[in-house]
Amino acid sequence: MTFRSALGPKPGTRRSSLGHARGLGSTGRGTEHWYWERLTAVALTPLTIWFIVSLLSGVAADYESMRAWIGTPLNMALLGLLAFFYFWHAWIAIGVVIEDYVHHEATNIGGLIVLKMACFLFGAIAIVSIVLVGLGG
Amino acid sequence: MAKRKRPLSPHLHIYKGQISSVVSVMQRVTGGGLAVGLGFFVYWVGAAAYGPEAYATAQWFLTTWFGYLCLFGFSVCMYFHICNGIRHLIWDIGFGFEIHQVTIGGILVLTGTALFTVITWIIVAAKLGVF
Repeated sequence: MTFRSALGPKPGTRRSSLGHARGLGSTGRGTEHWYWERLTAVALTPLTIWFIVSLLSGVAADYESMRAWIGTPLNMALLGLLAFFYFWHAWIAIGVVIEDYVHHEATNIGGLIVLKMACFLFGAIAIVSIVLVGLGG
Repeated sequence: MAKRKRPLSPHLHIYKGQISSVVSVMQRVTGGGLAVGLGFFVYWVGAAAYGPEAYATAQWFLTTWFGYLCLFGFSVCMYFHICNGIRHLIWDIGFGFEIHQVTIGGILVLTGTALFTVITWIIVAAKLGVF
């Protein structure tokens, strides 16, 4: 952890203030997670609307029609991307909530690790399931 | 580590609710609801992958009164989170910081959430032959 950026460029170097500031911040990761939270939100908005409209039009009312629906390349890709971005967004957002509200350090770090593992595990289950159903389950 | 007792800023219990703060808190609350919804989503696609019987069980569960209650809750959370998320994205590109714009935006988010939720469930009810 360094607070050098607040003091301006380090004497005797040619690095700019921006160069010092980049990658700092409360998490030490700069604006990276902020940026990906927004980008996944932009991706999720049309995907979610597509998903809700599809469900409302009855594509998943029974097993056979659901399988036929996921079985086309476009639908399988979109549903897989929905799951992928959904987990990515949840990973960042729940992580921020843990960072904000869990003040006990070991619980905080442990919670973030459990969150990441859970996102990988359930994200993998979701995407593998979608592919299996699409390929004829 | 011993902490010095320093003055605290005004805390939640004496804070008057405003549309700006309430909508902001609701973004996190609805996000939490959608995290639960994500669990339902994984169960649903997982059941589909396990075959017709598991899928039928999932469909049965989701169409019990409890299932419908959850789905209704997820729809409210989703529409709110998307509407307010778009509001956040508009802020992120640098617009809408005046206090009256924040208030109007909050009212639009609440109106949009109510409107989209009602439309969605009218369609569901029509599909189920309620009318």
